[in-house]
Amino acid sequence: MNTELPNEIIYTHILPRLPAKSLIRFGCVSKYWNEVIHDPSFDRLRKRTHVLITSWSVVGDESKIHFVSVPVREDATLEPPVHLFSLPIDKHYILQSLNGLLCIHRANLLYPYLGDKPVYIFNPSTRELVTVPVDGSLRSETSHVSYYFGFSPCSNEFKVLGLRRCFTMEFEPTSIYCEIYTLGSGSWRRINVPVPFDPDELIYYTDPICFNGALHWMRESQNSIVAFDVGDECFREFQNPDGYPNPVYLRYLLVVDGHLAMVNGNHLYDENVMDIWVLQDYGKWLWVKDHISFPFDWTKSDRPIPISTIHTGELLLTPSFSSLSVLFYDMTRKSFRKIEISELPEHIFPTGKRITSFEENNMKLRA
Amino acid sequence: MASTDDKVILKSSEGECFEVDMAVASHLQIVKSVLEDCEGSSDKVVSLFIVEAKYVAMIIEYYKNYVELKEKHEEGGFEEKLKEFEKQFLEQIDKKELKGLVMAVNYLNAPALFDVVCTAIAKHIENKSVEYVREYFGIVNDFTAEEEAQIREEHRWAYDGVNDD
Repeated sequence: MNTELPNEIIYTHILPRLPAKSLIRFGCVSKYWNEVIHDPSFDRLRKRTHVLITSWSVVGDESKIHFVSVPVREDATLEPPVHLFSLPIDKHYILQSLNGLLCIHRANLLYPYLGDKPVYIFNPSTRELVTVPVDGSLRSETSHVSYYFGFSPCSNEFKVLGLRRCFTMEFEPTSIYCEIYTLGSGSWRRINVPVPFDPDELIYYTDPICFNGALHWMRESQNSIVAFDVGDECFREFQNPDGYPNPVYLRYLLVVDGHLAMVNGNHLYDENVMDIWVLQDYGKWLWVKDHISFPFDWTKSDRPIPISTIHTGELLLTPSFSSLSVLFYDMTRKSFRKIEISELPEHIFPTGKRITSFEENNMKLRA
Repeated sequence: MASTDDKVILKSSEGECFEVDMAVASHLQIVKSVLEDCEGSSDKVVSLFIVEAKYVAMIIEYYKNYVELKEKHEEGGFEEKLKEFEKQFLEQIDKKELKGLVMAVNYLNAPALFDVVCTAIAKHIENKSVEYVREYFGIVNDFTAEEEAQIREEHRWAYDGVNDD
């Protein structure tokens, strides 16, 4: 038997099992391999999750955010941390991780408007960075602007939504402009849609989550969830499920095992129980209440909070405080695994650290 | 004790014969369909024309253990035990032989083992150099030196930390 493998086995059964870094390296094996690996329809069988640590440092006058990835192995142990990249932003940064891409910008929520700082889109799997300059024409009228990163599976497009709040003459209503940047388009465009809330409200809100082709925010004042459809570019508003208590302590949206979910921390302090309301059926808006019961004093430990479901099916929880240990929660067996992240790469310190995750994606940001 | 009715003989490309329990052989789709085609015939010999004896032996060893473990751990824990066995099963196979094995498994249409071997090959090349991978799969580099240098330059970090041992 000839021992050269048929191409079909290599391309459809072996290459899709490789991690992003190996695939990028093997792009120079041959012209055909390069083509296969970079084809948009190339489908990865095992999309590995990485724990992502961002930390902030100041050297001289220069403030930087560092991105460190910790790949989660197939057997759910962690590889050593790797420094991916640093960006010149100060500690007031906002980071959104979505379908393998990261969107980072300087928070512009508070007056005075610091103006016109770019939005960065970074693919940590390929280390490709796109800097999106923002529209500077309204600088003097702007009180603040906030950016949200979304993905539409229908059109397969990533978009940044900008909500710009502008001053007007006294006693007149505030103007709110919606701006859209589609990844790959090279420019911003303004859209004319009614925004059902004042972005000022969002200052007090947690980050939105993109799910099912729409950005979702919790709108506490109305006991509702506001959604922006990334494909149709319009807003919708839904009432919170019956019985959902107004959160007193912790509340935010996340995606758990392929479902939109709301964390509610009302029972954390007294019972070490985190309630998670899971949207079982999006079309019917059917929510089911679940919970995580912590076998330790939540307030006295690192206050771990759930971030996302990883490729092992476990829920990743990251510490709210300075510790570098993460938890993996098996939702069926209701058991926890705690893993310490070993030393960070040289010159990177966990100052102003945040921990999230991303799933590998080999997509090219520039066409 | 299983009767001889529950046995089948698999014949390798060299003509070597392997007597195997039906419970084991039925995991090979090709054997199953051949036997179904000649149902009623007393002759239970299946010729695996292109599969060498060493691969027939490996495949039988895998599914023999698969069937035994499944029986023994019906109540649960089968997957963990199978993973343990797969680890030691793969350790004894030469890396070059993985290629012959995956082709044999593909021909016999045995999905569980196919998945295991493809994953093992991916794991094996994951941290290897470009040169190693070309040699391993017998691929001719059709880039010019300049083209290759340019591709490498674009993602220099991806070439760090390779280990061909």
